[in-house]
Formats: sequence, structure tokens, C-alpha cells
Amino acid sequence: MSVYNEEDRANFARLADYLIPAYNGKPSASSVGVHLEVLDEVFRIRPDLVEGFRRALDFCAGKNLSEGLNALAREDEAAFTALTTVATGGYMMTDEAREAVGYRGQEAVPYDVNEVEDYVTNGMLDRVIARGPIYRDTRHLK
Amino acid sequence: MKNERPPKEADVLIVGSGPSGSVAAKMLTESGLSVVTLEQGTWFDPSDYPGDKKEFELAGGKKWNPAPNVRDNERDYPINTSDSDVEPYMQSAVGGSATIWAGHWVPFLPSDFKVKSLDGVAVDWPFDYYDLLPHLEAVEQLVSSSGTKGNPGYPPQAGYPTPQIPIGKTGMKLAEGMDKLGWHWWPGLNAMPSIPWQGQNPCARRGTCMFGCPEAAKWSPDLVLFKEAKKYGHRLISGARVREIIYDDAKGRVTGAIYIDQNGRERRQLAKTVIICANAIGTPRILLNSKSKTFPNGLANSSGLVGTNLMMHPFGLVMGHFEENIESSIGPSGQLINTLQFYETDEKRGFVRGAKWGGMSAGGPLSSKGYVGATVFKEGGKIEDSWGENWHKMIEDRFGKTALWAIVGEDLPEESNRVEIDSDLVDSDGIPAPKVIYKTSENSRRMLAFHAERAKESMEASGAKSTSVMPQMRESGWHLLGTARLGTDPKHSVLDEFGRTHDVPNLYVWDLSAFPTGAGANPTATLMAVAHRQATQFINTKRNVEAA
Repeated sequence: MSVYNEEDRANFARLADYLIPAYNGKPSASSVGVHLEVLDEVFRIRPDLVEGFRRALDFCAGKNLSEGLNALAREDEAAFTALTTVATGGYMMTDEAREAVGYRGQEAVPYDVNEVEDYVTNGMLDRVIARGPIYRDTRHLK
Repeated sequence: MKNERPPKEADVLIVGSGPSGSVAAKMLTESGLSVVTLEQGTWFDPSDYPGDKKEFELAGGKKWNPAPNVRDNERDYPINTSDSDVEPYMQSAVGGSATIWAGHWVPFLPSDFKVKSLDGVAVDWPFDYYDLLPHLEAVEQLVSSSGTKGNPGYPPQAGYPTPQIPIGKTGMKLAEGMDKLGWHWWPGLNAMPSIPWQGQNPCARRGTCMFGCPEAAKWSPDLVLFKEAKKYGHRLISGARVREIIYDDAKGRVTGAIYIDQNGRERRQLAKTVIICANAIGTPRILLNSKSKTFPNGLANSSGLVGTNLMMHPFGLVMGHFEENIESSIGPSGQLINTLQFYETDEKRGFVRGAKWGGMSAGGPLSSKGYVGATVFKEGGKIEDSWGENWHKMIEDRFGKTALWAIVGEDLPEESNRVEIDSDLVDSDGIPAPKVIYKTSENSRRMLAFHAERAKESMEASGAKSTSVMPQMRESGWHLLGTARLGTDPKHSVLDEFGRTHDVPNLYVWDLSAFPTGAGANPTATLMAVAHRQATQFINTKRNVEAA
């Protein structure tokens, strides 16, 4: 059972949307659910963020968003980092955000190992070779 | 192979299962010796690595962080780094830190072994590049390397078993800048095959090498060498944390090790010979924790040098941000290309020695922020400078459009940079933990500043619309070297040229602790080549080896 109640989640959603608003076709943080199941998933992966995140929520409670977050960043950088890591980490795990930024994860990329690379055909590598060795030899020091 | 108990007394006990320990285990076992390896960590399954999962970028910050102090797993030991400019990195696992290394295969250059003769600094090695070359060529086969033969940055050598992995749009972009400037570059040589090879899968260019390779492509000891060694009867005991090496004052020999198993039980493994390969912090920790009547200040420490001369390569990053998409989340990561243009000493620059740059891709969208550091709030600024719509704009500007030069510089040895035993800190088994005292030298600072400027010029020549520079990073202790150096004089070194301690004839150190200087290159290629050389000598002379 999550330790975060509806009020916590609503407060986080407000902060997260200030950090990650909707913009240029990108969804806002709350619209992809960073404050819902995603939040629990983030803490499954990063339980070390729980404490700082809680401090951030408590610190910003009842404050103007800009004033609260700027003060948090100045006075408790670790909590601010925890808050932003939870927001961005959760955001980028969602299909909606990934699609919007064009990120499909670290994919396996097929390639043809026999394909001749451009730097071979356009002479770039030959120019490196033509400039000759650049190491200092040491055989005279035997 | 039956699952037999380890021999009560092995011919050889190896402590540590990283690159050097695994080379030793394979070669000595295949030569007919009974060999037991103790490893403090446990086995990783490639399917556990986060690179192919949605949480990849998030998980890299904790469970798969390379800093044991951040990771804080039960198998990690803590390190007091309060007096260190650099946070040391390592992994506790079968395969050691090679489970999370980048796979950059950058052999040291001839000048690296002769810095005293050439540049008047530090010490020369007791052997040279050409002595080591046959061993280097042998281990390049073992790691299923991929690359392009003929690099004029090095003397001629045999070549690599598998073809070049594509350098991609990012590598090409970096190469174009170097080409315009007439500077050296070469397609990246990596310890990962481009085709199925020796039980390793081909690199999938996923770009997550430093968080473990989910493809089982990037070479690490757990994938290959220990499986081969097992066929010959090698025994690997994981979860075995060595508390001390046993020294018999009467015999003047070591007789094995005391370790704590995963259930917290104290056990002994006896052996005729002990080889320590526990990295340049772990090895001096074990030696300094192993006290006896003969060695009250730590085993094999009559010189007082055990733990001193710690080197950690100064490391900087220069990023170029391009207008167009250069597919910069595609790996390997792994080096796409590299350069040795400014590797050798030029005294006009105001420092000695030099650095290698590795051209790399920049990872996922969160790395677009992460690579410039966690600081997104500068003194005098406001969070809105980096968050809100500006956060989206930053990702639009950088994700997929960012190339990196990772600069690895040479760190000269200084006795004041050292590993000690901390007076209070202990690991989860109560074994005293290390403290690292390390200050970055003025030579290193000047070196990184110079290289960062040149790398910036290179990015601009490549057409970058903007650049970001991190000339010195604390979170960068990938390469730990020098704390039990080899040499010819027992007063000024801990080991002889074959990695045997001057003080104890059946005790050896074959890891990076043995390196008298650190070069300006990723050290694993040379580490494995040196271990291959030492193991070859050991096998060739084993009839004469002095045992317990």
C-alpha cells in the first residue's frame, strides 16, 4: 500500500506540472500520471528518493509554486533534486511522454557489419593514415 | 564437471574476479594448477541489467550507479571519501567492475612505460610496450574485440578478431571536425564483438554499456573466462569477502585467506600461492588489514608504500549540441571514435603528459540534463531558467543531437594520494573499510583545461551550434591505479616486475594497483595484457615457484 494519500499526490501533481508543463505537443507531467501509479513505480526503482521527496512536498505545502520551489532549491538542494528526479524519471517512463519527445528507449539497432563506412569511401580515414604515426617510439630506450 | 568442494589447499588462491583475476584464473587453471577464486560480489544475470527497460535512466542513479557509496548494496564496502576530490567507482560482482565498464579498449602507448626517461617525471616501468605487445594481442582475442587495424596512433600490431562496429551519425559528426582540423582520430576499438564470437553476442548498439550489457555482448569475465576456466576445474566462490591474508611468520610465507561467506560465517581457504586482484582500493585494504608480527603495518609493506601513489584519471566532458538529429542515443557506449592527437607531452602547453578523448553518444533524454550535472539551479538564478517550458526546450535542443568527447588524462603518482584504513568505518561484516585521500594535481587541472579547449574547438569544427564543458568531474573515479606499484627497487616499490611482492615470495598482486604510472588511457586493455604477461611467467617458472 502506498504511503501517499490523495492530497500528497495532488500536491505533487501541482509541483510536477510547474516543472514539466504542457508545451509544444508535449504532455504535462500530471496528464501522463506521474502522481498516480507512476509515482509508486518510481519509488520501487528508487527508494532512496523517498525521504527527499517527502521533505520537498512538506516544504512546498501551502506556498506559491515559484516561491516554494525556488526556496527549496536554495535551502535543500537534495530535496529539490529528489523532487525533480521523481518528476522527470516518472515522466520519461510513460509511453505518452516518450512518444512526444521521440524516444523509444535504448533500442537494439540492427546493422550490417560488412557495409563499408562513409569515412572509408570518402577518404577521411586515408587522410589520418597519410599524416603518419603520431606516437613517440621508445625502442631506443631498451 | 562435478560440483566438487574446493580443495582444502589450492595451488593458487586468487582474490577478486575482475579482468586481471579472470585472466589469471583461466591461464593458471588451464596450465594444470588447482585454482580457487574468492569474489566478494555475486553473479549478475544480463537480463537484470536496466538498459533494455523503461527505468534505465532512473535506475542508473541508484541500484546501477557505479559509486559503491551511492549504490550501498550489501555486497559493497563503504569508502570514506571525505578527503577525496574524486568519487571512486567499482562494482562488487563476479566479473568485478568489468560488468559495468564501457568496453573502451585503449592500450597504453610506448611512451607510457617510459615517462621518467622521456619527460623526467614519475618512474619508468621495468618493462616496455614492446615486451607487452604479444600479451596485448593475446588478450584482444580473449575479449572478442572489434575494431579497425592500422591506427597510426600506435606501432603496428596484429588486428582484431571481429570487424568494426558502425560509428554512427554521432561518430561521423565527431570525425568530420577532426578531419577539418587535420587532427588524429580513429574508429573506436571496443571489447565487444560485432558478430557472434566466443559465446558473446554481437553488440546491439543499445548504448548502455556502463550499466551492464543486457545483450551479453560487451566482454566481462563472468560471460566468458570463468566459464572456460570451470571446464578445467577452476572453483569460484562468490559472496566471499576476504578479511585478511594469512601470513605464517615462521615460514615467511602466506598460506591462504580468511573470508566471510554470504551467510556471515568465517572460513579459510588455504593455498600455496596467493594472487590479489581486488582493485587499487580493495587490494591495499586487504594488505593493510593483514597484520602480523613480521608485518605490523600491513602485509608486504616493509617499504611503507602499500596504499600510496593512488592515481585516478582526471576526467572531463565536452559536449557538442547540433542543429540536426545525429541519433546520439545509439551506442555503443563504448567509444564511437577516439583521438590521441594531444596524448604526448608538449611542454609549451604548461603541463606534462596528455590525454585520450573518447567520442561517445549522449544517451537518453534525461542524460541531456544529467551530462551537464545535476545542478539546474545556479546561484543568483531561478529554477524557471531550467524548468517549465525551458526544460522541454532543453530536451528538444539536446536529445538525439548531442555528441560527447570524454577526456581521460594522465594522473601522475604522488605518495600523498593514498588509501588508508578508516579508523571507524566498517563493512556489513565488520571488516575495516578504506579511506581515500586524493587531491587533483595542478598538472591535471592544466591538462584538463587545455584539452577541454581543444575538444571545444573540435566540436565547433564539427558544426556544433553550442557546447557544454565540464573540465573536471568529481563523479568520475572509473580508473583506480597505483597503490602497490611494481618496480625493481624494494625500497621504492611493493612488487617486482612480475607482480610478486618483494617481501613475501608466494604473494602476488596483478591488478591495477601494480601500475607504477597510469597513462592517459582507459586501463583495462593494459591491465589484462599485464596479467597475461605475469601469468605466462608464473606458468613458465612454476616448477621454481616458492610456495607455502
